[in-house]
Amino acid sequence: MMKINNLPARTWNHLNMNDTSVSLDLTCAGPLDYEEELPAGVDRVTGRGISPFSDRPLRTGLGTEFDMAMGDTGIKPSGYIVSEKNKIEMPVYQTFKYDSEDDCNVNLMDYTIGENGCLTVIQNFVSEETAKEKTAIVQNRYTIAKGGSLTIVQIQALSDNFTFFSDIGGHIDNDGNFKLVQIILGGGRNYYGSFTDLVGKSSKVDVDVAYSLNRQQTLDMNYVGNHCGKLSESDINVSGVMKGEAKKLFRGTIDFHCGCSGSKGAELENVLLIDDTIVNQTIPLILCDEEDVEGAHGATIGRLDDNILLYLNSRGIEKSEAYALMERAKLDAVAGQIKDKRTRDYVAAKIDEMTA
Amino acid sequence: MKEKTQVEDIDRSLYDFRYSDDDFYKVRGGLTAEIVEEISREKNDPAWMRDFRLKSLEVYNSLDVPDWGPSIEGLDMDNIVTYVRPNMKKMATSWDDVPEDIKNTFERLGIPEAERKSLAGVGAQYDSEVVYHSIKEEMARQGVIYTDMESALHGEYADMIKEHFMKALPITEHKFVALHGAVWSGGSFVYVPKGVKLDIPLQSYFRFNAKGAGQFEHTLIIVEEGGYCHFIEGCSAPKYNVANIHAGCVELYVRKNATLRYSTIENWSKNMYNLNSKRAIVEEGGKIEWVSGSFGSHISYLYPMSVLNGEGARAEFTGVTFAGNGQNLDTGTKVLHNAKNTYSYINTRSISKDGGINTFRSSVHMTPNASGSKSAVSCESLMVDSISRSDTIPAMDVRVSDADVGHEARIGRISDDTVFYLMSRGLSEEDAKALIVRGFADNVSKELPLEYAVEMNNLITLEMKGSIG
Repeated sequence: MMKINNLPARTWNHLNMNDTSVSLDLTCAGPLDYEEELPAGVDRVTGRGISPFSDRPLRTGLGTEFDMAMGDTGIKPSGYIVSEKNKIEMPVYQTFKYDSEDDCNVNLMDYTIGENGCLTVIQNFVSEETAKEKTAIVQNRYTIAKGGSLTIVQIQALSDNFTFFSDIGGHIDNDGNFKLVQIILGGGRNYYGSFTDLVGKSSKVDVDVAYSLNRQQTLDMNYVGNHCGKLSESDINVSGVMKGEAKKLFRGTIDFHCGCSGSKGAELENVLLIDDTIVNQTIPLILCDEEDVEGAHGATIGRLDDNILLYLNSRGIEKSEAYALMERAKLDAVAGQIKDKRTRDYVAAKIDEMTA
Repeated sequence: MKEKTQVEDIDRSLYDFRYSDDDFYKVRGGLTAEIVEEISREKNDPAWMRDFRLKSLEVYNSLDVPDWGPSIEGLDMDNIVTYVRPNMKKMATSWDDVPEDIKNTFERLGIPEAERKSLAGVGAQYDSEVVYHSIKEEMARQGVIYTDMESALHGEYADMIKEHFMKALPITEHKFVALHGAVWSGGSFVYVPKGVKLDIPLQSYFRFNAKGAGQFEHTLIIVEEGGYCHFIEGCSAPKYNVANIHAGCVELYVRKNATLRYSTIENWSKNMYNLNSKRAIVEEGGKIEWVSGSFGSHISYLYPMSVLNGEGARAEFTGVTFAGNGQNLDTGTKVLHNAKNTYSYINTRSISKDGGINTFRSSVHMTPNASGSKSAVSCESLMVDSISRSDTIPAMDVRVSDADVGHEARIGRISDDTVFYLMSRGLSEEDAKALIVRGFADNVSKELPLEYAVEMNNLITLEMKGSIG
């Protein structure tokens, strides 16, 4: 068994939130040959990029044990280098169609964004509804140099037969920023983690996650904004809907280290609960080793507000319709963060399909 | 140019005094079955209690120390004396019968004066034994029982004690509650009959005098249907250069439509390992109100828990924790919503200065039985300087859809602008900061009786003393 999504500061063991144990057989794991649309100006490379932060180990959200296991697979990372001042307007599209007979696919991605460079990567994970039991793993590691910018958008609509792992981690230098948008519509057992090392002054991370869970789906998350640079900023927003016998655990951490004066961090979770058979767990942490910072977190968990329900009822909308409307609104709000119209339309169609 | 504020350590001369304990009875240091049996013999335990102690020791030895909180490596149970009995033949019911040194201790702490002015009853414990207990006659006439645990265990309430003792907090819960089960001594038993409302509070004060020892008092309170009680506990100790341990246990039973307010001003010395356990079981329509001020101890693990078992049961937790130099205080609360339409409100503040470490830790759990329940958690942390630390670790586990759980937390520093404004009105920087911190902690002070609010504010002022611009 491997422990993943370790909470940066442990709490009572009986809550079962400190970490998650998973059994992962990687002996036959191989990379999936995904479809790729690559705009001009992006260099495709194989292997890990060279990090300017060689003295700092790169950490990922799912944790060191998981990251080491990925390294041990022997699978070569592939990725992109964006050179200095190269602002790539068009996104890189990656479509992962899990239609092979493989039991386990592992794709390791690596991005190096040069000074004032800019890149958006859109990853779309799909499968047939009747796909066999399978494990899909995607790891994204990145280094963002001064003034650089990287956006990763992930849309996941796999069948319930999938165990899906999304592991993300990287360093950001001065004035760099990383934006992550994740829309989770499928997968039977989902494990998501992101660790952003805000090394540079005024570095920034912005995470927006939306999910809709139903049936026996599970979602286990761990997002960390690790503030080391002065005036660094992190913003983590997670929003979702839970139905059926779904289970979800959200871990979010803003970690202010000594020396990160002037930094700000915020995390917010909003969960709409529909059925009594759900299990919703949340643990939002603020760890603070620096005086001159501002940290805040908030969580709103529960049913639809009575006032909203009454208003919608007065407009002729039934309770079940009102909940469907709110579910859609939560997903749409995060989908609206995607700048690429083609992807937005794709997500809207997927949401239509799911909420129909 | 703004200058950094330096904050000096607290002046604890009010609490930091001691008397000789040469003629006290003590068991040898360490924790063995022989020592537990010796304590049991000395206390003339009934057989069931002796067996219970030995069973607790077994459980203690089988459990690990927590791997998630502050380090307690400096606590070596092999060197801890778990039972220290003052040289008294029996518990006194008049201060005149209390030995001079012990009476002086409580006089200096202001306990007899508080009793005269504003309390319905007082219990005073010195090291392992209760040395004084009294209750106003009019309270006793209404059927209120307020006595030491030993008297209750051996007297007419023995069956009630056996029925409730360590049932709310079983010894298997964690290592230090098992330790308590093995070596407990002293504490108070309170019984408030149906419909009786105590207008003025009861107070137990725990004074720790012995070096390298432990205090393990047990507090058991039952408030019957429709009753009301405010119970205050206070504690202090002189500082020694070796570890002391406090592993008390508080069990509260709040019956249908009853209300219990449990207030604590904890001011142990900074060599203390405070590993205390508190739990309230609340029935239909009942309410538990925790008011908690944590100022002392070297290491603290303290999370009063409310179990809301009856429909409409409510819990409020109002707390402030002040961690200074050499302190690592891990405090918070737990609430279990286990019935319909239950309600909880948690409001905490923590202040870290001079290298002190604060951790706010909480758990709100809503079971599938808790439809229509609501919980709101608010925690704020203030960092007074950049060498201190403050963490918040709140957990929520919701297993019912028809519920509302809200949580908010904030962390920040004292605003320079506010300090500047107050200084422009003639306050020194030290006074300005103390005023801001007192205001920050007013969620607790306004919930306390006036005398205790004044004491708490004095503690904050003492902690902030020495601030220089």
